[in-house]
Amino acid sequence: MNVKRRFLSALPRRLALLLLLALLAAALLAGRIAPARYDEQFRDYPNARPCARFPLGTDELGRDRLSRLLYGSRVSLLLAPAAAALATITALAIGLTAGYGGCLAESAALGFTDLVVSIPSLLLLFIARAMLPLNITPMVSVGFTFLLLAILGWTSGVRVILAAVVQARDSEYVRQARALGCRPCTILFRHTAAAVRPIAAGQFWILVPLFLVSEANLGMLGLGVTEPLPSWGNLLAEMQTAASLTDAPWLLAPAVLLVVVLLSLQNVLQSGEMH
Amino acid sequence: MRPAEKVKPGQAHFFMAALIKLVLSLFFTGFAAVCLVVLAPGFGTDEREIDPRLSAESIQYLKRQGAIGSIPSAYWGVLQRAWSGDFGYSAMLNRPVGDLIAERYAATAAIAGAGWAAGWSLAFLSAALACVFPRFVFRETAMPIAGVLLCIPSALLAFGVAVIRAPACTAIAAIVFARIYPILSNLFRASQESCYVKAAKARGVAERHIFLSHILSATREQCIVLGGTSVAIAIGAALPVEVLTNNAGIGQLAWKAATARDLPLLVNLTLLIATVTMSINTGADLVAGYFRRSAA
Repeated sequence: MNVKRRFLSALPRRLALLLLLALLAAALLAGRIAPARYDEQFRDYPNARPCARFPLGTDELGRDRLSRLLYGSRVSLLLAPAAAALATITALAIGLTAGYGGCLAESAALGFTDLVVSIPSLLLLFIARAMLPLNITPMVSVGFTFLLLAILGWTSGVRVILAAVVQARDSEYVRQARALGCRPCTILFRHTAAAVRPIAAGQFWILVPLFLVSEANLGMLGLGVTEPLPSWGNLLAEMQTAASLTDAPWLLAPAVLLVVVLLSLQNVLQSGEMH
Repeated sequence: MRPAEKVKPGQAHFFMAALIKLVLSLFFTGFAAVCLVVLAPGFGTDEREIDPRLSAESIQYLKRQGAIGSIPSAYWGVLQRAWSGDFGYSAMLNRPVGDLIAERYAATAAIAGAGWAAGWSLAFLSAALACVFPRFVFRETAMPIAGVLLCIPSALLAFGVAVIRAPACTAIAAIVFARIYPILSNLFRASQESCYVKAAKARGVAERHIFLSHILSATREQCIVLGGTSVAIAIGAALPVEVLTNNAGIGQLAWKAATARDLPLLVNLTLLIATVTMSINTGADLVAGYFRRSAA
């Protein structure tokens, strides 16, 4: 009875994890399983309704929506974790430097973090995006979009990481290591970094959905990944061109997919499966 | 000789420290903003420089006009002009930035304010009701609702609001509720677990009285700070909401400036928003600090 109850209580989490893995596999294999390339135009079928050939219809340029969704998932699902990893490493480096750099470094890091956090992140992304040259290619725009997210996203984790670094720095075992004559590098990388690693991992998993949402926001406002490369953000922006969503509900597919992925991530993260 | 007694800083000292921190933060934000404008590709270049009809002397004259010197001197010039009420000129809309801001700030203040107030009221009421009435149905449903709302990008939420033709502040209220409710709920629950609340319950004190007299007073400072920080959430949410609901406010202006690469306008808007959010955060910190010190 207990086993059955435990199995049933863990079922939503397992289903969410399974769904995420299946989506990740589909995104990685987009080149093989997608019916067409993301930029291939079927000029005889612009704005086609869903049919056997085009399960999600085509856009106004005659491109297969399902293929674009699969390729867009690859862009979003691979680059959001990459940006989150970069942001976490930056936060870790700043946290370690500030934690061991003395009172001034700690105050400077916290002050700068407070400054960035108090300004709406979307506005900072607007500025950074507006500074980019006009002639960048779609591939560069993808890189820049997620790089900007990483550059501006590290601040959300640095406070937690710094607190953990300070706690580790003042702990008994680090003091003992110092008293035993351990080199500062060994203390920093072997002892402190190891103690902070679980917190950094937690921050990483917090940043992944945050970056997916930020990219979607930027894309919907036309400031994200540029055409013809698809991402969840610019696929969502296509909904705005529709005259009526009730006549074309398949246009909601990217929105539904994004929300399902975020809910699944939330479900899995809350259960601690990722840790 | 007696050891020097550690003087406990008073309210005035605390107030001055917060004020200095605010001024310094704004100063550095302004400097960073000017650096961004000056270092952006194409800054200081006049389109007329590539006009083949102009002579070399004319092009040199245009280049001299566009030159700004060093970044600190440019920043000093910006500060001087801002002091006299001149916030620059928008190349995109061909109008002074000050006029554009004056025309639009009320629209943003109205929807961000209404959304913030509605989101906060809903979150506070839900968390309070869940605290006072443990069997209240909202206790089980509010957290999943907040979780689902958190998973919807603010731009998508704004688009949904525009489709169903609901007021724009509804989207901001939903965004504020989604971010505030889990924190408030956890705050109240943590306070409920404290020994004196348990003792009051054991003595038969009514839940409503416990909430008003104990839980609320124990979490008052955190609520005030949370209120301050949530203003930045409301203003940040107003950006996509104004764009997608076609509301002529500061957010829509910032988006237009970003798409047209009108960096001077964008930077002025950022400074304005930073000033508002930082001032409110500092105010909230001061009020919370005042209560903390009074209690101590």
